[in-house]
Amino acid sequence: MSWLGPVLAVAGLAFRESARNRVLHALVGATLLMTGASVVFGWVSGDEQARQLKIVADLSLSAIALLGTIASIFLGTNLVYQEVERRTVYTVLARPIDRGGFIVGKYLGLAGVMAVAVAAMSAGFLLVYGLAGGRPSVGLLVALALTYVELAVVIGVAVFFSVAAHPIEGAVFAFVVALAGHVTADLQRLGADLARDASGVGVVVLEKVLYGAYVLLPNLENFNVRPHAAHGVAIDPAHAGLALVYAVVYVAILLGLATVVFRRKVL
Amino acid sequence: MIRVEELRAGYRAGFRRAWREVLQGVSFHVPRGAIAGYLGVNGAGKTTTIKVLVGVNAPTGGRASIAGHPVGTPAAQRALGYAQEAPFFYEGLTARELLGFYARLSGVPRPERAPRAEALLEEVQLSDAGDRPVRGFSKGMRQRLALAQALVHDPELLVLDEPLDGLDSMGRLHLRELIARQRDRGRTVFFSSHVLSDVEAVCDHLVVLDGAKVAYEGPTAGFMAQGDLTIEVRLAGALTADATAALAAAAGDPPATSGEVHVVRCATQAQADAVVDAARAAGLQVVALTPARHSLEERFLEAFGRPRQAAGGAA
Repeated sequence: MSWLGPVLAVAGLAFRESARNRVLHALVGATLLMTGASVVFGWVSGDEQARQLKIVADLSLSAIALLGTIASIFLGTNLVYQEVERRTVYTVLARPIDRGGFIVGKYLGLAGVMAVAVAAMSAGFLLVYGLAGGRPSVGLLVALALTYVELAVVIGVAVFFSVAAHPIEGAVFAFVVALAGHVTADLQRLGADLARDASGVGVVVLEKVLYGAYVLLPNLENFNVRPHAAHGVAIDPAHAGLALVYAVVYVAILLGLATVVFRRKVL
Repeated sequence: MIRVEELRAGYRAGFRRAWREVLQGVSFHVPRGAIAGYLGVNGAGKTTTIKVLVGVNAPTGGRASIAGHPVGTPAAQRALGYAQEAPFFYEGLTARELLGFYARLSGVPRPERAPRAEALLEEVQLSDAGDRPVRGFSKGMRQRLALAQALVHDPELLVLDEPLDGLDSMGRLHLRELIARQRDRGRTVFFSSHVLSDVEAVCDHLVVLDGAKVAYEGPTAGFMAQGDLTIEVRLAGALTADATAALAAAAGDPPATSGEVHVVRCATQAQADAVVDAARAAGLQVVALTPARHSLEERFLEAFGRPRQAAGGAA
């Protein structure tokens, strides 16, 4: 347990520092505003109440996922880089914590902050949904939980780039990964279609590249049950469980890679 | 307390991140209970050595240990407290919060954290500023807070990188007293500084880096004793041409004369004896014999003083 104390100390500090970030406050505020606005959109559509509630759920869940992704990437890509730039990392690494523990601590701190942020955004959404006449279903709660798990994976990607790249480059890379992570199945399908319909070395290489992207990029669609929940379609518990396991494994690999890169750095 | 053997380390620099090995087989030993100054010109590798000792970076070769534990291991890191050059902190935290964080990071049990932070704030005279965010702290307050965070887990060894850098006279005096007090508590202190007058005032042991190797290691007095000793012989009376020639022959240089007072500078005790004999033979009165020892700064420049700056800077 002696290694856990320092890791939790770093996590606690990362939580405190991230929680004070004004960009996060602004993004949470913007999400709550969008949730409120979704009621207006539903009302303007003139549809029956059930359809209005679907609009509220659809827009609100998407806003939580989108703005949560932006916040995770913005905070995550600065997380380790900033410590090295500000040289605050020296007095930390001179204590009994290794670089892997430091990375894990930073990750846990930001994941904790985003858990609170998602909880706040979810509470706002459920309140608005209830006031609009809806009854929060288990499906909606699962969709919110899996949205958080998706953000936890995005934080892992951001933390990796925070170690390996400058924050601006890292943010661009992380956004590309987050966007591509929603179309990995399409990428694989595109490669297979190309290989079937055309020939040549270029096509073979492209098919391999697209397949590689499919394997390496996080499949964030695993966590996207938001349309199902908004439209009242039941969510398979096994799917949710497997998605959670996939996230844990993926994040562990990302943090492992981040540790390898960080250990190679001379500070 | 610190043992370094054939240590090699470096860093990447420049746009192409080229590797620069600044330590090429450095060896030295700092005895337990010493206050040791670590000197060297800019770029000599002082900060690189310190980063290896405290476990921030790994050496590329050789060995180093702290209190018998290999550097970078949790046991070695628990034995030392480290304050970096121009200390950087989490600016939004207060001094109390920072000390609490470092205490937790170092494994100090929860009930002991607050009292220890309080005692340290008292010791470094920051009690009144304990609840203020660090971003408003002056340079002197930051250096004192850096010392407090290094002491928060009660280490046997303090490793300080340029702790007196940029402080005014009062700030330096206060910090020097704080450092000297650590010896009374049985701690070993190892610090780099380019303020050689401060090093001379508090250090009883020196390690001097020159050309990526250790050029001197041992007691401060030993380093100073290696310096050129000047003995000033002050004479009074009328100086004849023969007496001037005799004094010049004894000392190597003619005396500096002002009226009936003459001063001869001798590089060795034997020269001084010869000058005194020549003066007495010429009927001059020997008024004073004054040994003039160099300061550490003069001695440092004399030993390593191809025209360079005194020790300092990061490497």
